[in-house]
Amino acid sequence: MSAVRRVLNWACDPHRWRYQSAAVRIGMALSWLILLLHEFPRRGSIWGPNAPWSWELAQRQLTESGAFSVLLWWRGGLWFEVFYGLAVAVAVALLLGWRTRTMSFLFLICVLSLSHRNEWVLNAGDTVYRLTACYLVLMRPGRVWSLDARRARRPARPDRTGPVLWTLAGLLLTYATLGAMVTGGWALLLWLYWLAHAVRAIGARHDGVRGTLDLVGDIVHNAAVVMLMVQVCVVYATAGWYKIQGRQWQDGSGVYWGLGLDWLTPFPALTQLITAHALLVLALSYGTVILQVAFPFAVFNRRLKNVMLALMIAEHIGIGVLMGLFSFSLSMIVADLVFLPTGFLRGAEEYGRRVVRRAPRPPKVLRRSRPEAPARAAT
Amino acid sequence: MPERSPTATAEREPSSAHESADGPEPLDRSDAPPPPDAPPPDAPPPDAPRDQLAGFTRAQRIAAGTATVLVALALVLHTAATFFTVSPANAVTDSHGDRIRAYMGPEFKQNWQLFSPDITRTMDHLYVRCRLRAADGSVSTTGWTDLTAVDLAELRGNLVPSRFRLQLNNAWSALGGSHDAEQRPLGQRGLDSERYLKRLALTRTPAPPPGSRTVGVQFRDIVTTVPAPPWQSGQTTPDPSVRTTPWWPVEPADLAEGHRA
Repeated sequence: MSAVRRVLNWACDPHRWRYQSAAVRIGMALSWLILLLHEFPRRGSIWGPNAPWSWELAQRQLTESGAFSVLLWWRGGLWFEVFYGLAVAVAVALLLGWRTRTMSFLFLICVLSLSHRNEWVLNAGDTVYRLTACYLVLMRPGRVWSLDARRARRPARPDRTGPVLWTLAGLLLTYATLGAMVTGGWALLLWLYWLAHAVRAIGARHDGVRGTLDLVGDIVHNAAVVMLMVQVCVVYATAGWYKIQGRQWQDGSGVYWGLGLDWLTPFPALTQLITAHALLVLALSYGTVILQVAFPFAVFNRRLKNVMLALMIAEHIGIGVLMGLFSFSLSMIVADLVFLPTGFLRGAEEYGRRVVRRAPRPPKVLRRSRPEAPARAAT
Repeated sequence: MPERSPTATAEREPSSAHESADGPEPLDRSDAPPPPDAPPPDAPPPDAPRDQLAGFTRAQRIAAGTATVLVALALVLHTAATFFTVSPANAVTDSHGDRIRAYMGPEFKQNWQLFSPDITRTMDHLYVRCRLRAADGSVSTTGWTDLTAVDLAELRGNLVPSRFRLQLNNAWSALGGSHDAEQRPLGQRGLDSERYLKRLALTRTPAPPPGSRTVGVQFRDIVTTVPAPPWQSGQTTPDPSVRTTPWWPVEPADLAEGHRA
């Protein structure tokens, strides 16, 4: 095979990163769902029309920055509640992989809308969510572990839900465009994405066109996954390289200073267990910097990458608990999922399948089926 | 199960035969996606990379090639823009910084200088007091209300603290950027940041007695410094310093819903 052909084969591979993108999709949707439900009792005082950062204040700010938020379409409390409900619904749909291509786009709109409505409650984790949601739109994260995949396995039936969703989206989009609620680049993007669904649906009737569209879709999917990997590396590299320039990180006391801030110590007694030991602080500080600086280079070596990944995730869990940054930690763990080995993800799938298969049976049957379990595990 | 190591560029050629062997069955694109229930791909991957393009016409291959080139170009450009967004100022950001910022927009905006290069050593503890006007026109001043205490109470002992605790600190830190050295607001942005702080603070102060109305607020920030670690000798910890804002007038628009002044 020629070199060009090999490159093309690599780019078009439809099997590449199916599991990783599905893991990121599920992780994103789940953590966003947790976030929405967690803040549910306080939603009005954070993003509501009469929150301290009021609708009017947000509108003035976003007019200046050009950021997009559908929460600015109408001022009323009803629209806010409807939006919040829809955001929960979209997160659930994305989690289950129902109409993944549409839902991932709506998910991005939800993430952007809520983030930009009140930028004062954001932390670095929200940036991770926002960027991951952007790249997720370009992926095909619904080809495994999704309702879409289950539907595709069944005999083809005429799709009724698709056209209905598409028509509804078109009506809403027309209303929003005529009312000048979406303008400029965002209007163009939304309309193009809407049209692409029609092209895809009509093209699917013709084998040749469908094949070509699938090819292009796979190329874009592979590139989007690569971009997410690059993005994660940029996060770690930036965090690491800037740390090297700071005196506190150079003398190995960085972790001490970070944990010394009162707004980052949910468990002061636990924090003091670490900050009291000079050598522990030194090891954690240098370890953090080494891990972050080395990660982008480690991804080129499979074994090293997997070790680094495990250490990274352990560190995120530690930061999340020790510094009260659970949402940031969760977001980084979700983005890290893109680096998980396919073998590990398939193993998780097989394990999940066994658990699900075993769970719904009544105890009697379960006891009888037990001897089979090791045999099934061996396959 | 062989696993493909992730790579950082789309143009990288397969380094081994494993690279493109994720599924066991050759893919026929004119069919529905392969059923995931197919036998698990325990079989060793074929020695030669599978040819994804075998079943395609010449026109389709040209389309795939064109798409690959365009997508790879977009990938490289976006990666470069991301890199120059997070990099320190340099020759490229000096000449193309505006263009890069315009391209990245609010969607791809990012900053990963987390706790770096230097970790802040100071902590702000904010208080507010109100000026009340009674029905008879007399004016009185309330005591200081601890605003930061609410945020710290949310954090302490809580594995999953709410994000509302970030608002006050963020808004207070942003005050410097929207005010001049004499604490005068710079344009609408300065006024809006004051309004935000007032609305936030007045949700945490006790309601004024009946007949009275809040006509002004004043903020006070007690700045403390994290003491140096015991193993670093010779470092002194500065004494707490106090920063006070001028009295800001309170209007009806400075009140969040459900809070009266």
